[in-house]
Amino acid sequence: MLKDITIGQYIPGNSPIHKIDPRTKIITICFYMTGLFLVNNLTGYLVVTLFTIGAILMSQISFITIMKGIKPLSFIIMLTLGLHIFMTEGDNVIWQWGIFKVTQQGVQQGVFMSLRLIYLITITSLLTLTTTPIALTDGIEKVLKALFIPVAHELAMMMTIALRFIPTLIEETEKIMKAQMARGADFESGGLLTRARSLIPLLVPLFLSSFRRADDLAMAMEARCYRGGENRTRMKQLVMGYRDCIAFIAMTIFLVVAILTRYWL
Amino acid sequence: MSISLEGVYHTYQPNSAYETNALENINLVIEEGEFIGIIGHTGSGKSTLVQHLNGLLKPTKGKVIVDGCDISAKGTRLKEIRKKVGLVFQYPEYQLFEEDVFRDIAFGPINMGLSPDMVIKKVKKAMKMVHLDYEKYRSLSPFTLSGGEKRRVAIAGVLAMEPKYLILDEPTASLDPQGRDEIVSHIVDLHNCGLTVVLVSHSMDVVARLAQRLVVMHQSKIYYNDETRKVFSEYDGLQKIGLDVPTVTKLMVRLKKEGWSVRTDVITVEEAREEILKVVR
Repeated sequence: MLKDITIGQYIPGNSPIHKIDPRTKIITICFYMTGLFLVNNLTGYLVVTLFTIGAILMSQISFITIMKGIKPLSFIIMLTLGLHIFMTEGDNVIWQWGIFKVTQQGVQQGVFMSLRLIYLITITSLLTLTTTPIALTDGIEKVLKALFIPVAHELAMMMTIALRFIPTLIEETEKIMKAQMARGADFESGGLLTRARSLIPLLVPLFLSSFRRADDLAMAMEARCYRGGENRTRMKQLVMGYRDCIAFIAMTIFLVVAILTRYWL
Repeated sequence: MSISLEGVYHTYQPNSAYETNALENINLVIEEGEFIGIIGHTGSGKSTLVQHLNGLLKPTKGKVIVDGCDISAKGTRLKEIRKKVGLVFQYPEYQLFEEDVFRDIAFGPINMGLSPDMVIKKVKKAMKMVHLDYEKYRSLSPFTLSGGEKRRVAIAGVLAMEPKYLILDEPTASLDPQGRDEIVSHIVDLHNCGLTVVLVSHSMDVVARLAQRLVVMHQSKIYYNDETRKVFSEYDGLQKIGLDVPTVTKLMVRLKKEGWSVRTDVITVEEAREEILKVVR
């Protein structure tokens, strides 16, 4: 059940998307997001949709995997949809019941906003699904450095460690959960308060082991003379290639089209 | 009554890039009163196997039947099964969470819905089984105890539910020799009191001393399932899958090679002593 969490998961592959330099991916995703937040009409969303589907197809990641990433956030998406449908003012009323009013503008706004969220999740999970955590943080570090952010290395290292420990912590959680279930603990039934209380036998051991792990890791890093980012070199240097050129060109075109759909159509 | 596994398969993360078969066609019957040892390499499926015995995992294919109850069947009360089949995980001291020893051990019985009087009774009994003095330990924080004591508290936490079957996954891992001997002697006592024990272990010496029957797991399948002595006489077969025989058995095999006519199906130090004395005289 916990193993279904796909956030931060990497699926090995050999697709063009896998091979793009992580820096390119990070920067072009910024392009994509800008475009995504600029579009505001049907044509614009059509372009974004086609583009997203294209990217997924190229990455050879199955749509089911992407859907799994969206599922945990379905509540927020539904909430967005609902709020926009009922709260948007407009003159083209489709349905009305007391103070509840649904307008055509509301429906449109709701659908657009939820699509925006869905695409946002899709593209970011596509990033993590096709990039190894190490390459990803490497890329983030380089991009942050290029922006003259002072603690770029430390931030990137923290992220590497956090990403690295997601699966470990999930595994640990599952193990403790099972151990407590073997003692008759029940995590799945009861009201909100009972459920919150039933988490104590899970959280206390989990916190303890996290602290222990953090301590061990710090010790191991110091034992290997880790002193932060100063004068640190890399074994694997990132190199940009023709693929990155294509990606930049494609994303620039996408951004231009997105702007065009907003202001000239 | 018994626990029986019929053609059990278990697949982790099916239909994904990480799909792995952890169990393949497992057929096993654990009779009441037995003492079974399960050995095998890391990743051979031992832990997955034992988690099927109390319904923490359900077979992808096949059946697990505990005292006549199919754990996958609808309407099976898993809590009942877990009460019957106590499972002590590896490093059980990492699941301790309460403020004091008493409350931690009482966690299981309270979950079973017992009355406060009964809970106290069960906790006392469980602590006695692992030789923890009730008055001395009940109000201590479990986190201040030594490694061996913590582990005994954790085991008592499972025993307090009074299971019929007790499954222990590596109960002696990373304990000092004294702590290990204590745990081993408690396990022997428990079995003598009528508990059915399933012991997963890496230590051939421990299982040789304790288990009547051995199940050897290799690459998700059962490789051997026989009397301990018979399994350990398969010296070559075990070596082939990277497992070992007890130290005394190794000694006897070596002696035989050096020209002494000793039996090699010896698995305990006492037997070895007799056998060697017989030849020397």
